[in-house]
Amino acid sequence: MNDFDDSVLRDQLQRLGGHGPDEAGAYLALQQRVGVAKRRRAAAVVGGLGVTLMIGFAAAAYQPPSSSRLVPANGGGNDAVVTLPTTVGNADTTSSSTVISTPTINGNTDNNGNTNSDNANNPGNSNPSTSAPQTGTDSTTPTPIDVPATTAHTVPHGHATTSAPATTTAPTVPATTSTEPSTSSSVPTNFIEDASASSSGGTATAHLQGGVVSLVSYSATADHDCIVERTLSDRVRITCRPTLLNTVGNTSHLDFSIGLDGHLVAVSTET
Amino acid sequence: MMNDIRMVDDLESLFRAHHGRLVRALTVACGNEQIAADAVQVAFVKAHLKWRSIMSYDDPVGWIRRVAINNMRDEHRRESRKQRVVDRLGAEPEAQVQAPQLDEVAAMLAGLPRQQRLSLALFYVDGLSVAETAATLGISEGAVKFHLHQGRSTLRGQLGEGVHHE
Repeated sequence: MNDFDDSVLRDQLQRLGGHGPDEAGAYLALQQRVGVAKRRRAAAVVGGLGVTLMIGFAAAAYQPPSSSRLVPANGGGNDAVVTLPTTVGNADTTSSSTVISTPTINGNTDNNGNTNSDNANNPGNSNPSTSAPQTGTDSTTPTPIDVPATTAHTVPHGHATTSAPATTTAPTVPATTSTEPSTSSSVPTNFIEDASASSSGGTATAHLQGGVVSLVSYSATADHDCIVERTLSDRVRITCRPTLLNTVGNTSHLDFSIGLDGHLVAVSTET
Repeated sequence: MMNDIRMVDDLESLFRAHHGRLVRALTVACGNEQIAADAVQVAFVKAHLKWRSIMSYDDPVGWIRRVAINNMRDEHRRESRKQRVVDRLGAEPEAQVQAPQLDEVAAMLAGLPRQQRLSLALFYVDGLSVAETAATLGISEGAVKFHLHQGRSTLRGQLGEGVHHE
């Protein structure tokens, strides 16, 4: 017993507390409230799980636009090895004797031609026997330059053929077609070949590799100036005009383009 | 399954042993049997949902008692806020059912501070010791003795000869 034992006060307070609730009824009410609480908690868990899954799926499905990038369909590796012939024939006899060890070439080949066609020459990539088609460098052509007569221009290129001097070119020669595809339908489109065209104003040689036409060399005849008018990935045009002192010459165009069969086509026109 | 049944049996036996006494003690403390019964029942519901961890406590009944007291305090705060809002708006108070006439002891008890009411209720109605009352209320034993002394002196002085010291 301690100092605070007070039976009278205890009785008064216990009487004030009442008889207390019905235990059986209170326990039944407790079980009902427990059931409600359990159902509510289960619903909260299921709802939270559903929201979490929705957020997860949304996050997995979302791809920021900046992360999308193009991937070459063939793997896009630079390990494509293209073996080029050591000697390339002239325009009349050029045939595709190329041995392509890996038929699939870099997937960026077709796209780079347009953007890199105006770049400066890059002689460092002039070894085509071991490198994949570097379209950015193969399609490089010099900027249009007024060429004095009898001056041969050689575009740095791995397969630059010797350009014919101006005096050796027969005037008014019709267009010279470079190649004659033997199997137009079954041959692959990735020809590697050279073609030359000549006219009264000059002579030019172009190179086809990886679906890209690049200018190898061009030269003007006497009293003519040749300029490179158009250098696209699939065509090159050289225009040769008579000089001011030449009043009888004609303007000629030397066009190189890719034919329907995939071969390089050279066309010479006189106006 | 067997463990679940035993757990439920433990909780049920605990409920039957302590529920009524706890409700009576909180009724004395707050003056409203409905609020006290609801606070105690909510405490037992929480204990039921967390019984696996609560059953390992040294004093599960003490945990339930503290939760019940906290529930009662929360309810008191809610009522106080509601009353303040009603007073601020100047609205007419809702027509209430005529409260039962408090007897003399209840009226005097209502005038005591809350800690004194709780100390008196837990000590005299729930039958806790001074140490258990101190642990339940989270105060020192000296503070419990002070509240018991003050509360008993107040009740004895106001009741006169109605409340006699032993």
